[in-house]
Amino acid sequence: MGSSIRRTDLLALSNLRNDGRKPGEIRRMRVQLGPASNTASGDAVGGSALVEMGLTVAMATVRGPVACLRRSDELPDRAVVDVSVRAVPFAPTDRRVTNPNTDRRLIEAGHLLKRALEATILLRLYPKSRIEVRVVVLADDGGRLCAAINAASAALIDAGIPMRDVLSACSAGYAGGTTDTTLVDLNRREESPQQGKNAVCLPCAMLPQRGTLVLSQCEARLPDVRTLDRVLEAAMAGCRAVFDVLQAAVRERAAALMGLREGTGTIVDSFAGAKLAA
Amino acid sequence: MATTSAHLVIPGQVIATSSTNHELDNQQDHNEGFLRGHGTFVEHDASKQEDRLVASVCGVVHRVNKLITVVPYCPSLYKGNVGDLVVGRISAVGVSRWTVALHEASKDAGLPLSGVHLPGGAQRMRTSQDSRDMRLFLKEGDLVCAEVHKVQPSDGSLSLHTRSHRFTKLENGILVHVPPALVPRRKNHVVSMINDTIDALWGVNGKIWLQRKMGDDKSQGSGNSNTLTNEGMKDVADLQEKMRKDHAETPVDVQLRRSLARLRNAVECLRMVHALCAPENAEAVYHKSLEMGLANPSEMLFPKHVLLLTEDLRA
Repeated sequence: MGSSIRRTDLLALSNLRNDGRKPGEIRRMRVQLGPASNTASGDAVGGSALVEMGLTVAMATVRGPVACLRRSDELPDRAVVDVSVRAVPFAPTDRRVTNPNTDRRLIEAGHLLKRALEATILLRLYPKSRIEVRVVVLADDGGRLCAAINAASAALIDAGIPMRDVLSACSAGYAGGTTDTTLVDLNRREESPQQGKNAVCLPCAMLPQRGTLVLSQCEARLPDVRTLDRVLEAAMAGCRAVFDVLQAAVRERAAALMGLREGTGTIVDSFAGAKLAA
Repeated sequence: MATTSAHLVIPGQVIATSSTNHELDNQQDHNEGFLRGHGTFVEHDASKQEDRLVASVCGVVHRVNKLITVVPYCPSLYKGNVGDLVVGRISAVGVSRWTVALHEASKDAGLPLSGVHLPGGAQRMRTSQDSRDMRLFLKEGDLVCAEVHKVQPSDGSLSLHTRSHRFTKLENGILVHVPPALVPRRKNHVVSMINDTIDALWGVNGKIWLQRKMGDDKSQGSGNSNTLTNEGMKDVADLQEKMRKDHAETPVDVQLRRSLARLRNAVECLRMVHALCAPENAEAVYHKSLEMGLANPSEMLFPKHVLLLTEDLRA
């Protein structure tokens, strides 16, 4: 027909990304604390959280500190973190059949998450015990690891497990070529290889109030060290934005539960899966 | 507890700072110092030469003189104290001790063989024969009511002992789970409710056991006095044992089943709105549901009814 301008071209012309965000903008993020915490019967967990980052959804549950399964697993001076990251079969947008038990990328995400959590939780308070963190990726539109970290962090807060800081994670990338900009919180399209080249994607997790970086990982080739600095800086800015969302959700939840006890506020319960106005 | 000026903190938030510069130490105001309480940790900032007290959980800051603690907003963890009445499930039978699961999100407790009353109330050392017969007494999956005897200082694990013959093994009743934070610590955790027709055990670990009133009160009245001889003790032990067995074997009639279910749902209502699950509150909800004319106990759990039933208790 008449115009041959595609939508993506239009976005690129106006300096926007393929989903209409500005380069330094994170996706719409929603955090729900305790979707599975206040359940009626024996399957209760210590804490739980559901995190949505754009179209990526991850849910985490935390149990603990409980006894280790095997005596040989326990450590005499601190707790061990037992992490598993799973994805539901319908999570990815592309139709690829993977076995969630043996998917290497999920196992790797689990290891990274474990490392990040070990740097955050005050493990020395619970010697000879185990803190169990289970993450399920319900929908995957890129930034799976970051969503998993944020969900785990929120669930740990919900469980009341002592932590150094509110662990928050965000990824950043680099659009080379003519644009030469850093992008924050990549979606699947931005993460995936373009024109045969691996896209730069640097997931990063930090303790925002301490200013400590606990995880950063990059597999693609960057043009130079200065670019790495820029990308890292962008990722950290993203983490801070994520932290603001997490913090607001945590405060809201705490205020709501305390309000309930004092007689104001709304009922937040999982039995109807909805908020009821009191 | 008035928490009008409650100060909510999140993990990592700095609560207080104090200088570690020793020259300044002498002139330091007393208000500046702090003691690290639960829910906080101390971080040293070398560049500014100061110690910072940082919250490690999300909750409200409490301060007693210099001691600063953060009370978590919803401690789903159960942390045992000596003397707590708990209701748990036997998860394993070991050599001369049972393992009792108290809460899904905390470590299992140990119930040593020496912590239970022997059948017949005999007072003697436990033999290897007793330890072989442990499964006859309590086996995996049984519910028990016990008291926290000791908290291991090294890792906070609990050791339990049972209190009476009447409430050791729990049978023929209802177990309700609530978050442990909602069960208040009080003087008496074994209460009789609804015109003395129901016995309730309010386990501090968030497990509430409801059952029909056990035995009759007349024979029980003298049983608990301390002036009994050994002979008398043995009789009482036998009597209580018999009462427990009778209770377990007699089916509960329909009328009482309904009122048990109603009480159970009353506790459930309180849990849903995150209100304190005290016996009085549960009883209030129970009576209110009757006033409202909810003939069927299951109607209590309709969301609109939950809100109406707990109206006074939330306010």
